[in-house]
Amino acid sequence: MSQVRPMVNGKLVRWSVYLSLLGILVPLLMALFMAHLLVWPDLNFGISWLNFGRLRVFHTNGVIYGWLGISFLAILNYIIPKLSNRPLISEKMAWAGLGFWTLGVAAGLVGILAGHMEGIEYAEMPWYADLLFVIGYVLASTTYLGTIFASREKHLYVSQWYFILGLTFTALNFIMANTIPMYVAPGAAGAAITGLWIHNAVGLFITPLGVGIVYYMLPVMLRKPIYSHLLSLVGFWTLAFFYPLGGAHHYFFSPIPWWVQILAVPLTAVLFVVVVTVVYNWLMTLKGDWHQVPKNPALAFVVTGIIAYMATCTQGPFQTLLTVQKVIHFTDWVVAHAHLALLGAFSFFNIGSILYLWPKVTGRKLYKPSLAWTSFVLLVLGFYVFYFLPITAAGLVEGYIWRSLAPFAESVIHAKPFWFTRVIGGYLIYAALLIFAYQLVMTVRKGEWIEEGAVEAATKESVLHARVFGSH
Amino acid sequence: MRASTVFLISGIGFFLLSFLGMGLAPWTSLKGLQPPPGYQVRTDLEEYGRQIFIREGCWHCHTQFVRPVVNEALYYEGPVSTAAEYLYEIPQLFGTRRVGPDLAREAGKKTDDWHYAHLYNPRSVVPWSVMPAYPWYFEEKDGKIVPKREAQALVAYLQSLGRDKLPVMRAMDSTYRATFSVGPRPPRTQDLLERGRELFLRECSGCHGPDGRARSLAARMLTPPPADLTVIHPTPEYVYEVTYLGIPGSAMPHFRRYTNEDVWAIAYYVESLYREPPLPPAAPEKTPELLARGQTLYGQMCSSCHGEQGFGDGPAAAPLKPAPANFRKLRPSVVHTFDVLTRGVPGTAMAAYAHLPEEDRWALAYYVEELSRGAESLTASLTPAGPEAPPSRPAPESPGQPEPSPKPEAASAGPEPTPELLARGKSVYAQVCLACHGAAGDGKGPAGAALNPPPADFTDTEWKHGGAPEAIFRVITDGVPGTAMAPFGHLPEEDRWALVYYVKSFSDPELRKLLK
Repeated sequence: MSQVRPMVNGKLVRWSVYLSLLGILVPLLMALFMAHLLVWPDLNFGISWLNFGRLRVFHTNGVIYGWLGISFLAILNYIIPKLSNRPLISEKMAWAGLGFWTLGVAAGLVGILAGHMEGIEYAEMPWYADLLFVIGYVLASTTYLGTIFASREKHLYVSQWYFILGLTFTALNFIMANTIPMYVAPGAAGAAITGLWIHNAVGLFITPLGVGIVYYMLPVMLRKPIYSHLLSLVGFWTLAFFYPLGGAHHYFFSPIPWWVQILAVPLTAVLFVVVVTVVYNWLMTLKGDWHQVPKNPALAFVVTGIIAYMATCTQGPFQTLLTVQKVIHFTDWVVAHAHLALLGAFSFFNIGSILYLWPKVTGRKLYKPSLAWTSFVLLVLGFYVFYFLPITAAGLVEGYIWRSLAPFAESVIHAKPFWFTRVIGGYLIYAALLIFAYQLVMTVRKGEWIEEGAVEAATKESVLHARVFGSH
Repeated sequence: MRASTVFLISGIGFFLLSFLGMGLAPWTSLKGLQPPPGYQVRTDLEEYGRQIFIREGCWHCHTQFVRPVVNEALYYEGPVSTAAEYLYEIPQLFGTRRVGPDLAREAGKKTDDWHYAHLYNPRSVVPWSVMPAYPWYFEEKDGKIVPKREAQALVAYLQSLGRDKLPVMRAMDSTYRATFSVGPRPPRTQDLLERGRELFLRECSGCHGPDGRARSLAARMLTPPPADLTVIHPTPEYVYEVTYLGIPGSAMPHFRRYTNEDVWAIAYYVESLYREPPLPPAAPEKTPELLARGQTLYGQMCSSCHGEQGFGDGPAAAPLKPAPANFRKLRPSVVHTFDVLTRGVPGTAMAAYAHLPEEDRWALAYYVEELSRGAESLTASLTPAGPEAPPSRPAPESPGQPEPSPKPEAASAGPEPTPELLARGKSVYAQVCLACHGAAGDGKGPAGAALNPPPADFTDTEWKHGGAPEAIFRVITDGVPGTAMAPFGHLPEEDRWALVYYVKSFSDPELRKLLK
């Protein structure tokens, strides 16, 4: 048994986690600085590459591709072999994928700071970075899809449905964004397609990978199967069918043909079905096991993420109502909403998952579980109290001020106290992430060795998987 | 089929469904759209400006469409955006967030120099702004901040946004101006003054300076420069009007969205900034004789723009942008008027009159002060030879006035052109004529751009009022009624002859030779 190639390549997972840590610590440092700039706009002392316009894009692209993207790779490098019950089809390819992906993001972020930004939101990385990124993306996804296809398991678990859907969809979506609206489709037509891209980058890249991860993490952490297979099916297929169609809602009341915008309303509203089925399924799985949450920081992160996911996905259908749009569109409300999804939900999922798998890929217990709780508390406090609530409020204030036809100055002046609050929140969030990173590094260096033999552990895992996922 | 294949196909299939249904179909339904009437394709410079707009991420804080909701057309002073306007926009820059205002209707809203000052440092003109500064698109040349090509391109691009809608926007603006009236005046309380101070610091202090003295960064970059509010004593009604309407032709924007009470607060506060500057010891005493001299000179030189009674409504005033000062409302201090006469106001039709003897300038400054106090004050102070009633215009020769130096007919025979005379002409031209007629004599001086009819072009051989030296001499002496060309009869006769030959030298190679 010990001669057989281990299912999960620990080194690969560890390195992808380290890179993802860079992917969050660097862009968030920029974000923290940027938060200051909205309060003290001359703080960059006229340095072009520290300018708000460039930093904003550095931040968004950095967290999407550098943090969420690479941490997805890290977690998939762990989950895919587990669920497929075999090692990755080619670890070399996985390494190459990780390498090109990272190079692409790094080149893109440097290019943005150097002033090579392109004009499609979330696809601002310059073309040379796009090329590297696409190579990395194709190598990594081929590895994962290939592994799933090569699996001899009888049943495909729900996480894998999401991974296959998300990875194939996004390959096409990313290429579309960087070609069609960038160079071919003009004006309103370009905006309709850009809307699809923006929407599906969240909806069919981040969502399916994140949701797929929760579908794995929640049962293994709770050591019991998911509540309902039927609900999993309904949640998956409604997402796959309806989510890709609502992109125009990013440009409501724009010159995009009106029929497209009108159609986008119900097509977005119906996504409420997705969140209700998925979250109900998760919460029912949790039922009877809530007492475990305060004992397990990894679980606490995932569960808090689930609540944020429920909140943000409930906001979505509400925000699509045109009456609401009139007030909140273009305001900080949307900024808060986006952060609730990407930080509140998906970053929490990934942090929780990394905390869970770290001992398994290092062979050591977490350095100090109390540190995980510290970062949890700081993150929740920093994000919800100092970021989400004030910035949501700022959005309403801005929206109603514009609506009243008051001078534009009013909307900026009245937003400033909220922006200042966000600076404080930024420090708390950053501290939380530093502690999280410190925890991981110290675990590798000083964590207590897990006594259990590798064989025993593998057997136990296998039994657990059989019970939880119904096969193996 | 295996389950994994189903999911793989669904990944591709749902992408195609989304792309075809919600991407390609809208595109197809937009086929055949024509650009709106008056649409101009961007120039290379404007296109370069757009590239910079993209690479600096400007579009993340400034959207580019006016929505058909919540009165945005009113707010952004232009019609709701339509798909036809964006036919050549690749990639489109609609934007999704407004930290700053929408820019779809930006053409013509602000002057170029305002944009330069704003890009160099937004706080220099908009103190509350949180926009980043772009100093790396500027350079210092001889102590001046000069835009590099990038900044020029960016401003050209901004001025192109929505320009095909300019006629509609101008019509909206004129309707607004036509129906404008000063709103009910609240009592001047301490609270209101405090509010005025707050608003002044928020909106006005960038250009006019926190103390109103206009010693600001913007003052270095704007032409005409912002007013020093401590040396003029504008009526609150006038400040109210300017705040609501702006000053077309200058960087002074309007603040239409503030409430009546807020604008009154600003008006009261600005009024309170006045600090009468002390007269320098060199200033002559104000005597009825001096005032009479001032009146004469005013009638000859100033009234064609500023109006006989100082209302800024002279016959040449209408086309001028910015409009000539209305002394009744602006109420400049004597010292300020003297300074303006000496230096002129760059970027306006107000030329420098430094060639006038100092005494004459003081005479004018005192006279303008009396004018600004109204007709009664004027009659009282001009006791020996006050005009009975406001004479009808143009009336350069009211009874009791001293004669302007030479009568036109006395000028029938001028001196012969000599190199000295031409050199003299060149220097007088630079002081008196250059602002409108331009250094090259092509009528394209900085102050001339806004004039209608435009200043004469001396480089061609066409002379509207006759090309003979005598005819030109007459125009210089008497001016051209109904235009911005003021009479310059107060200049010494020799200087006027010098000007005649210098002006002719632009088109006459013989004279040109003499000049060298």
